[in-house]
Amino acid sequence: MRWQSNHFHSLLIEDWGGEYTVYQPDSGKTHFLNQMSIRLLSFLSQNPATLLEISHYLSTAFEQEADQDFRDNIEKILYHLDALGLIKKEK
Amino acid sequence: MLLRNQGLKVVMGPFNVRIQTRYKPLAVQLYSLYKHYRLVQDEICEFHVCIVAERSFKNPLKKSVRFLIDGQSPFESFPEEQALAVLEWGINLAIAVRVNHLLLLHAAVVEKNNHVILFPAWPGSGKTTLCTYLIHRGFRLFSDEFGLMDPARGVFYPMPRLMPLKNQSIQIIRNYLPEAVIGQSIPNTHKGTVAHVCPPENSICSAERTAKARWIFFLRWNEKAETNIQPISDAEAFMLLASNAFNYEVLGATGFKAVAQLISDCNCYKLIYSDLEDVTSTLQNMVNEV
Repeated sequence: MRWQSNHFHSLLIEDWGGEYTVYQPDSGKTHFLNQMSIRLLSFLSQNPATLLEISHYLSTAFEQEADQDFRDNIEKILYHLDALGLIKKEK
Repeated sequence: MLLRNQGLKVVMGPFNVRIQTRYKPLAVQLYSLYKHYRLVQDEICEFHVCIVAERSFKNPLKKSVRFLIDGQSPFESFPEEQALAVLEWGINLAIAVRVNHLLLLHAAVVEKNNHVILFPAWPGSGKTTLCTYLIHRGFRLFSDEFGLMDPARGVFYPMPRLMPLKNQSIQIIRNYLPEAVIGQSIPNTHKGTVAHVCPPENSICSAERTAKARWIFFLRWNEKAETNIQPISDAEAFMLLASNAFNYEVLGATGFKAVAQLISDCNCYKLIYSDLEDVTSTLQNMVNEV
């Protein structure tokens, strides 16, 4: 299964030194996200990707080991961002 | 006479409010507490409010009063002695519900040296008490209740209105500020005893002078605490401020950009206080250092 961003370019993003507030016009909601979530959104806005590909990209970017725990955490973030409507599963 | 018939058109910051009542005790209070306010004749009013006296069928000997806006009554009736409090709450409600061209923060707002200080806070945080003290110590009142920010220009509009002190704050301010003009105490309201402070004349007369914000203090009163000021992160300040605004979600992207601009322009802190003189001195020093 591949994930893709959902209207990433419509988001208003403010960077507060590693913490981000994100306005989502589709829902009218404002979200409070960390750096990893923003990198993930940005990555998916380039191309759809699988959990494995996303985990590999983020583990490199944040210099972390892409083990099972890491992948589990990334999966949790993916489902959270999906629930917010910021990403979606590719059809 | 005007108040009784077509109503008085009172300038309250960026708004004109037409107040009409035939209830004489209220008229007496209004002529006293509103004496420095500018009146207009031919200008359009954003709000048309009225206090009417009525008697209930159940208890015809007891008078009550009702607040009307554009002829509609958003509240139940109240005991007649609460007329002034009901009028002031009614005007606040109308502003909170209807104004959506400005970002509306639930905050006390004062100004000094052309810098606005915001005190966003929920009821019971002591913002009216602190605000009352500050404006009698050299700060200019913008509002004890609303931060009115123009999202396009990034400036705040003053709207110096009567300030409702509650319960023990009334005596505290009477003790600290014998010069303050305070209306009669109104007991047994749903917020306890209320007494309205009239803003100083200079605040009312300079209500057209806007300014930009420089500091934001998320305020909390704690009886036993010493003055404590802690900086907070911009991201936390953003979320606190957005959740404090009356109309943030209504404004959508405009609200987001306005709050982001405000946080970028301001230094943000949490402020816990109990001693009015101490916190005022701290704020005065801070303003003077700029």
